Amino acid sequence: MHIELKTTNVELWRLKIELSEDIKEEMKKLKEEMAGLKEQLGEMLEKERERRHGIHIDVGNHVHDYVEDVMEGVAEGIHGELEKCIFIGPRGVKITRGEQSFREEKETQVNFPKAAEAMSALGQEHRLRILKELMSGGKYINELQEKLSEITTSTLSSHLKVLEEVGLVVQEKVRGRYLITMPGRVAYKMAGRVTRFIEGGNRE
Amino acid sequence: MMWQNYHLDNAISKAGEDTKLWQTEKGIVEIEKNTLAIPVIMNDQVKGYIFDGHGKLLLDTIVETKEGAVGKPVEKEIHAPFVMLGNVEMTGRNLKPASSEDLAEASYADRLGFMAKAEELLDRFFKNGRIHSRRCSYGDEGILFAFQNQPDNLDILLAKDTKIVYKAMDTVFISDKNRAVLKSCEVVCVSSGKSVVVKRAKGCSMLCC
Repeated sequence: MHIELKTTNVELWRLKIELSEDIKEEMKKLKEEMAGLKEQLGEMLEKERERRHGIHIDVGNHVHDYVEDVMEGVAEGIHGELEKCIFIGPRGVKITRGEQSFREEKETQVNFPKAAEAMSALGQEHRLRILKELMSGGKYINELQEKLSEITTSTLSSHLKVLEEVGLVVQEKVRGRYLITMPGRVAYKMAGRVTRFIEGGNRE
Repeated sequence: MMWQNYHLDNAISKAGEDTKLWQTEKGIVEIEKNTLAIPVIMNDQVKGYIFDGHGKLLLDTIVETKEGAVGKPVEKEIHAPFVMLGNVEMTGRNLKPASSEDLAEASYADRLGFMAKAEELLDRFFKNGRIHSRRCSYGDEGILFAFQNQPDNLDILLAKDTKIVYKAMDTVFISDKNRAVLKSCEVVCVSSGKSVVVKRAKGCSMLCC
């Protein structure tokens, strides 16, 4: 009786082992079939893409990485060149990378007393003419006098003083030339733009 | 040129007339008549002077750009002793011996009083000055000034031909012909003559140059 039971157990184990091997074999076949199907599906999709968009070439990850590296190099180069190149506007050039916004627009803060002072300095025809003359480069007072012969020397000096006080003009201490400053250029251009807008509005 | 090699002469002179110690298109350093001077010696040669009297420094620390001028000129009255190295020949011609009355006029009891003050400045310039802690290599053709602005600080002006380097507490200005670098409390400006970069200095809310 005992021997019979033992034999049955051994048989059962053998069956179990055979069964698991069969299952493994089946799973292997299924995996292979799935891989084949995937490949077929890929080929079908490829053909479909070609049909819709023309030839599609899969460049693979290596080329993709390479392009990314190149673009990063180009970006570095542009960044370096921008740092060397011309500044425009009182806020300067803002260089951002990646997903940062290019320029965060903030509400313009106006220093009213300072702005009023600058606008007041601009609010005189002769001063605007002086700024115009200085736009082409630094000038000595006698050169300005020649260009603006309708203004007397003393008036010219007082106008220059006003422009200098608000920082639209600066005078060299050694050579004595008058130079238009960055804010001076911006103010003069702004005056031109405002006038064009007004003139355009009046015409309409 | 190690600082240890420098020492002061004991012959005190004064400016016979108002004298421009340095003058270019960009700057001027001048002293008034009767300003006291004591020679700075190295290898038995006069290499410079320490001056005490009234003077003036004018320096156009302005960078001209296509977008407008950046910076403001420096105009400083000089009342404290200052160091000058270089340009000795021309300066020496305008100096004459100082008398005890000249020293008294400058509030010195005797020549030793002035010498002690001059030595203290020279010591500070060579030993404690951050730029000149190890050696001074301004070159024989150039000129170097060290002005006292505060007890612990010296404003340095180095010039040779068209080249200028000026370092003060709130300003650094380097210029050569149409190339310039300016760093003030308001703005940082670098101009190569062809292109220019201007940035607002840290802590400055407005570009108010």
